[in-house]
Amino acid sequence: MKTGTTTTMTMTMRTTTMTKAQQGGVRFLMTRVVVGATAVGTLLGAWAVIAVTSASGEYAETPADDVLALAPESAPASVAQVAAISESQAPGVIVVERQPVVYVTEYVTIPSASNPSAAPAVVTGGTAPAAPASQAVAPPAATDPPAAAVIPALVVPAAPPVAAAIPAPVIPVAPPPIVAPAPTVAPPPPSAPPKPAATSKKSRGS
Amino acid sequence: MPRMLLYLIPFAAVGLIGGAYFASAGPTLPLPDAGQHGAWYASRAAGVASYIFLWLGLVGGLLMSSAWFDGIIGRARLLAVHQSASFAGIALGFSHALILIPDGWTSFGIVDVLIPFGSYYERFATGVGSLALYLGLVVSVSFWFRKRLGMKAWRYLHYSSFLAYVGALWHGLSVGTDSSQPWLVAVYVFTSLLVVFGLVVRLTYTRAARQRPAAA
Repeated sequence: MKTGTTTTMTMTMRTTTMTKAQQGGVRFLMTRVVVGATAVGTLLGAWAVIAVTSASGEYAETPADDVLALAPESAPASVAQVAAISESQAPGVIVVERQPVVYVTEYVTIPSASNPSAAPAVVTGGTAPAAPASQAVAPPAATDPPAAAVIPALVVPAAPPVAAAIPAPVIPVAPPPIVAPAPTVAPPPPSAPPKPAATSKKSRGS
Repeated sequence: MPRMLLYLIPFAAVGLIGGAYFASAGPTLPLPDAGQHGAWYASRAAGVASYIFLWLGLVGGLLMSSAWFDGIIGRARLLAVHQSASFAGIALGFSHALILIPDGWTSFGIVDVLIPFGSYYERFATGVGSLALYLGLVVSVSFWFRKRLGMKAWRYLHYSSFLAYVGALWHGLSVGTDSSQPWLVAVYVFTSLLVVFGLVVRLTYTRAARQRPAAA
């Protein structure tokens, strides 16, 4: 009979499914494998994208600083901006430069105390006098006409004279402690003076 | 062997294969040379991948419970996707945190990455990310304990997966190094819109499952 046969087949299929689940088999195993593999693939893909975008150096990466790397184009171009920056920094900072800042990278050899023989490469772009090391870069002399096509030269102050070797501080030697002399044995108290002998002498005045 | 462990076999297999590949080829192949930033990049990538798969698990659960994909994808298969994606997201989340420990680019210790609000860097944002990860783990594991919890309590616990998702999203937006990149912004927008869509469908579109033939 067809009805009975259909019912029998349905029950057989359901029993097979239940048996498989009860045996602890993982249902849709391939689906889970695909999802897991997709997760790994997503990880690798994100890794590649991040490595490529980070290699271009467009943004800071360290968790310590969130400041974007400043490009030379973002340098302040006006005196007001320079003054504002100096005011926002530590008080007492004096802005010496009173003209537009032009960044010129020029490598010079500055003699140091350990290498006094190195000759300073002074870039002569004007007649500015040599300034002491304590002062900032001096502005060019007023007699030099500012040329739009001439980049202000970097004036390197003359090397300060090598300071004489500071003698080693002389630490005064502390005098030896005065040792108190050992207490001497106290002399015995003098014995009572002998009583003067009784005399019959009279006083002279009498 | 407990059934729970059987579900972990696919992930273990994928992990073994991936680990063997990296052990043999190194983390720079076929990726660009990461130099000394390899672990830092890997952690960021794991964070992005974790977010994506947590999202996939959430949306899969929403669409499965709303019967939206009935007739297209079986609910049983969608359940497999929902579970697998959730566990993959949690595994990637732990990878995102643990890779930072031996990384030389940062100074995170085990307390910084595993203890919520124990990090020296962006304490609140990283703490929210840790809590989101732990909440996702609890929600995922609770599936095998729903009879002990009771269906009502388990259902309310499952609803907290939305909190885990929002916490993960907020963590990425706050301290994610790549969150300002256009490609990741697009990912955030797309995934958020789909979550909203899935929630609307879940709340408004319901239909009864197809009636199974009654057993004689």
